Amino acid sequence: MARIDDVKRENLNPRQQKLYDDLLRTRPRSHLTGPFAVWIHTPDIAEHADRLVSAFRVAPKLDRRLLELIILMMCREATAQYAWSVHEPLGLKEGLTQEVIDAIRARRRPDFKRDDERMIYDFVSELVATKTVSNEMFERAKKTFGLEGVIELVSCAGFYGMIGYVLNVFEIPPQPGVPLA
Amino acid sequence: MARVEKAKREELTARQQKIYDDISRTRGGRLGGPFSVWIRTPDIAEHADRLTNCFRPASRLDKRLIELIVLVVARNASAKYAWSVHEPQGKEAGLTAETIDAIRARRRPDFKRDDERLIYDFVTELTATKTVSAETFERTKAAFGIDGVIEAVTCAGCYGMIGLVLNVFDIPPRPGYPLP
Repeated sequence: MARIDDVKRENLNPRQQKLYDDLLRTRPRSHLTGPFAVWIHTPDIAEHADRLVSAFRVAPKLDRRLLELIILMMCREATAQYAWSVHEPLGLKEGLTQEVIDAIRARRRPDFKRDDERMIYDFVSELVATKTVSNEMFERAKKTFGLEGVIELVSCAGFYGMIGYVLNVFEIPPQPGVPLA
Repeated sequence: MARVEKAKREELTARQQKIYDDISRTRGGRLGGPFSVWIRTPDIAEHADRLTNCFRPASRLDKRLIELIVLVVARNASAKYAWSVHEPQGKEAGLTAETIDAIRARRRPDFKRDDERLIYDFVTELTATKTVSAETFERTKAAFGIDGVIEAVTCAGCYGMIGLVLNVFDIPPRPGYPLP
């Protein structure tokens, strides 16, 4: 049971209704779910959070496959059920294998076939554990992904950490599928 | 030594220059901290700036409580730059030196003000467990309303993100307010 009421469009003020419509236009669901079901109550926050979501979605420097890997790792770290349930299928669609996803779900290090995924995994694991990365890790990641790629990597991890907090505090239920244990 | 060079305004694109000016206008003319990194990814810079500005006019939580959230999160991440900026801002907003010293030393402050105690307990539980218990949620909601809780969670998350950027890019603190 969510710790916040379901959003009913007719109960929203005009600014919120416009936001509601904008949010649903780019999301394949019939009603507002996920972190925006919370953020719609604070429309200034909702608006800018949505633009940040787009910043990682519209023209990212990193492959979307790698962004989904970052997101799934952050969801696992926080046990953020809703975001995992949305991003597992997105991750598969962008080219992550079921084996990689299953390993992350089970909190095991995946047996990566692709070097870039392995590097992202190692970077994010260190980032989550220590809140930073060593010089070697930074330099390796910068050589592989470029400076802007590393900025995007860290920002995406942090942003989905924030989303995880919102989903967990408000106990937003997952979309149908296998829940995260 | 930061792991990224300071951006020179004259070397930026027109769009980046506009973002540079918008950001520094509300931050004492400086493009400091995470924005010195984010200016290179202008989509992120623009919207991260606007998101952090949501916590500034303090329409939901008092500025004093916002600064408390930021300091707790900065301490948790050992984000020296953020601490160095927000320690003086926290004092100015009404946090006591004792409260700030305790947070810096990783001790639970001996709060005189209930609202600060509630926010501190909420944010420390959130950063430790990535959620809060039903009691913590209900207590915090009773004190601050749903909108206050949303602001507290989002502010904590936003400064968590900022902490990671500051740490990975090794952004040095401003002088005067070190964080051991």
